[in-house]
Amino acid sequence: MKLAIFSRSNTGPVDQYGAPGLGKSTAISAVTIVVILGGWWLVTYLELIRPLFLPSPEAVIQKFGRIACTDYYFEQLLVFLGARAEVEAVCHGFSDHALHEHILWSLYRVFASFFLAVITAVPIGIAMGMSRYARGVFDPPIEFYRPIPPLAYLPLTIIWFGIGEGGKLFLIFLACFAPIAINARAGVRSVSIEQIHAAYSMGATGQQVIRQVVLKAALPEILTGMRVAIAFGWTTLVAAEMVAAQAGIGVMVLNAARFLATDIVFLGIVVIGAVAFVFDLIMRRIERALVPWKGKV
Amino acid sequence: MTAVISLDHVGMEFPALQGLGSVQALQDVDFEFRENEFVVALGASGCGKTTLLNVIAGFLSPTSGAIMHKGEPVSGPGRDRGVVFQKHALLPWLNVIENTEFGLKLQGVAAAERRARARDNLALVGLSDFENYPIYQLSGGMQQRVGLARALTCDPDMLLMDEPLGALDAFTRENIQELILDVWRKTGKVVFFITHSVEEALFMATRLIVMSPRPGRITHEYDLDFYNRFFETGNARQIKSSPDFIKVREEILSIIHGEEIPE
Repeated sequence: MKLAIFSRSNTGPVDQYGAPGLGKSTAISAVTIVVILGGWWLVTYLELIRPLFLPSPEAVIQKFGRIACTDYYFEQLLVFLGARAEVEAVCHGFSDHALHEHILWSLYRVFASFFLAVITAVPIGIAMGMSRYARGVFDPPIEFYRPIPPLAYLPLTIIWFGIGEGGKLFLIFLACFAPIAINARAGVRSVSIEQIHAAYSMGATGQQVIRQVVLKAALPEILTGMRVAIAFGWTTLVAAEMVAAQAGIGVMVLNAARFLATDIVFLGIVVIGAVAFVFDLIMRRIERALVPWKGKV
Repeated sequence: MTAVISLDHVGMEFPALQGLGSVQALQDVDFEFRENEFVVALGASGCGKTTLLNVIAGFLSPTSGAIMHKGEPVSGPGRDRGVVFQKHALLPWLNVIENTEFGLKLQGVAAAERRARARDNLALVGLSDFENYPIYQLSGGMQQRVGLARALTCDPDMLLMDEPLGALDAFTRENIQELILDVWRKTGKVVFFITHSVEEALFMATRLIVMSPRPGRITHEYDLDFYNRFFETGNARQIKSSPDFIKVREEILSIIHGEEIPE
């Protein structure tokens, strides 16, 4: 059988001849996921790799139940419904916190920083697009720090902000700031000179042009920047939680690694991946709702 | 008749893109737009007709001479001169009626009043049934009609149209020519209309100016009334194929191609 990876033949009657990447890939992705999970299960089931290096899926799921305190909360629910007298199960969690507490702490850190980044980076990015002075001032520092890995300036944030929440938020804030500012700046360029001229010839003031034309025209790119930023935020989370954090998914993973609890490390990674994925889906929904014209003009 | 816009020895000199020297985009343009006129500028690319429109709109300041609007010097864009662009000028985040009322919204006109005025102008361009359509779902011709309605809603003295039909297909183009003439007759605005098409220019103009490049200037001027015959007969094709129309068309083509005018 000829496996046509870069097939030029038409896959359907309305497809363009030679158009790259034709056809749906959902089914193929599903197969990939099944193969990965199946392979994981098979390798651990046959005990080809020691659990220290690769815990079995069952072990990870079991750890999930234990750390999320599923029994404890289920019993609480039964008590609440009056089906049970009292709660007998004990909530152990991990590092003194149940899974949802870890998740909420991490969500708080990522979204507080992200929010601060949005309210500062959008105006600065727009200003950079609109004014050569703003561009001249902000371009060097942003372009300088942007490629530096957050781990490199982590010590500096500790010296400046101490080991409290401030330094953690600042680290994630920096990771989110650059992509939003750069995309907002690029977004300004997507406004056409005709749109600006039209607004001025209808009596718009400079302020009105910025608010009602430039900002709106830049919105698709600002949202793209926000999507990239939130992903960067999750990437930086573990680094931020390395220093003296009590709870958080990153803390959970780091503490688990210290005790060689590989199954919990796996659980933490899966949780971060799942949460980040869900938020990317939400951002895409928001994008479709807010900028339905994107790519159509 | 009084002049709505008068150009007094207007010149526009751009620095050349490379090296020394400069480009004389407009030289000594002396012209008056009078009440109720439909002035069409015709000329090859680079003859300065778009520069002339931008100078009148206030997007460019002339390097010499002056532009007066009813006796007041023009110093920038303003509501008294509405502009219809070739494309890319509508705001895709607003629907048809929101685009149309945008100018009034900028001025702080109350929602009910601006909506009513926008509706009137959408009716004028035949888009009443498309109020709530998003811009990106409209055809090119409909988008240009929204652009026209939007400019009209600000109630300017003058409409500046920079090749508004240039990006449309030939059939849509002829329809919208007739629509614009109809709107002009109903509103009585002074129109300055730029085109590449000799036929379009002859058909629509009350006064036609032919421009030449290097330096950009007005070389010929014609008073025309083919539009009037259209208002009488309603038959555009008949006018465009009539012998006297063709005769003027050939004469102007000869001028543009730099030939001797055949006797």
